[in-house]
Amino acid sequence: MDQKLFENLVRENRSTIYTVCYMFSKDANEVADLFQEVLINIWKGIDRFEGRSNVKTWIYRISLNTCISFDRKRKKATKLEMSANFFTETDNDSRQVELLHKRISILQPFDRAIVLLWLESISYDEIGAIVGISAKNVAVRLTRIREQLKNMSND
Amino acid sequence: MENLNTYVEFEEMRTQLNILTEKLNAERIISDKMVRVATQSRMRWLTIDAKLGRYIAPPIYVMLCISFYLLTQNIPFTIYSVLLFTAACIGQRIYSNDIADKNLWDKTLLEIVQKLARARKINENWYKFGVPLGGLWIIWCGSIMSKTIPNFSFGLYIGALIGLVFGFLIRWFVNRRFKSVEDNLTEVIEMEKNNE
Repeated sequence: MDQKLFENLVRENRSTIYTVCYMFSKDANEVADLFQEVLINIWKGIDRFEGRSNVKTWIYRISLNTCISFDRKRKKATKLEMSANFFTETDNDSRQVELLHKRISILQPFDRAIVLLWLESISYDEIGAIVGISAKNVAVRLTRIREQLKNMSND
Repeated sequence: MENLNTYVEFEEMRTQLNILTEKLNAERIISDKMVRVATQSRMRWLTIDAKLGRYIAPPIYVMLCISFYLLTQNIPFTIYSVLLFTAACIGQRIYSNDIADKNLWDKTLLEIVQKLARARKINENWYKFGVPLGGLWIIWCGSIMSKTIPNFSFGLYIGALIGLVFGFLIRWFVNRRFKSVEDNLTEVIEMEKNNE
């Protein structure tokens, strides 16, 4: 794999990767580590990428798998005190991002992946292909997630 | 299938995600920590090589000097060996001070690049001086030993030359790795300057 091609791929999809990482941690250092880990996995897997799905779908799959397994490992490890937040400003936009993070973080990692993909306007079929379930299952899960979020708003 | 777009929570979240994406696009993706972690992992072999050279090479040099003196009793050759190996030890020490320094990654990227450049220069000097002087040492050693030891086997001679070729290849690999790490860090520093 040509290094330039890899760099272009990362440059074009950086916000996608970063968004996924951010959904699994809001600590700046941890997001940087996750981002790095995703890049390593992309680098390792790029030669095996057969082009059967589109690049963005493939990037999503790698990013989500990396973040979900990171989340699993973190749960097993001792919880560290996280202090360095990404957006420390107190403007409305930062509050909205904070709220999004709060909502997302109550969900299980798998549901987090589904809702994130749905928010990115990816079709049910594609979401199903990325996370490995049927489109119908995606719809059912999204309805449950919505209920969960609604309950959170009511609390 | 239900239309989930009508759910307020999801609608809000989509807007929030757009805000987040916009913010992330404006963020600098390459964090200082990321660069350090990536570079450190790329330099793992260089660090091991430097540490091996620092701790293993000096006792080997001392042993070589003593055993060849005992074997050949040749004063000029022993003096040449001592000078050559002392210079190699000093070079190795300076080299490993730069590379295997525990505090290397606490320094600024510019300082790291400077240290790497110095280490690469020492490595390059190995080609310029180490290979010809080491080659001369092997030839001289072989010629003395073939005269002083009755059953001297030229197999040892060939083994030493193979060792020199391996050493040459390792140094070549190390030099290439140095160059690529250095280039990447310089690129990052340039990018940081442009962003300022």
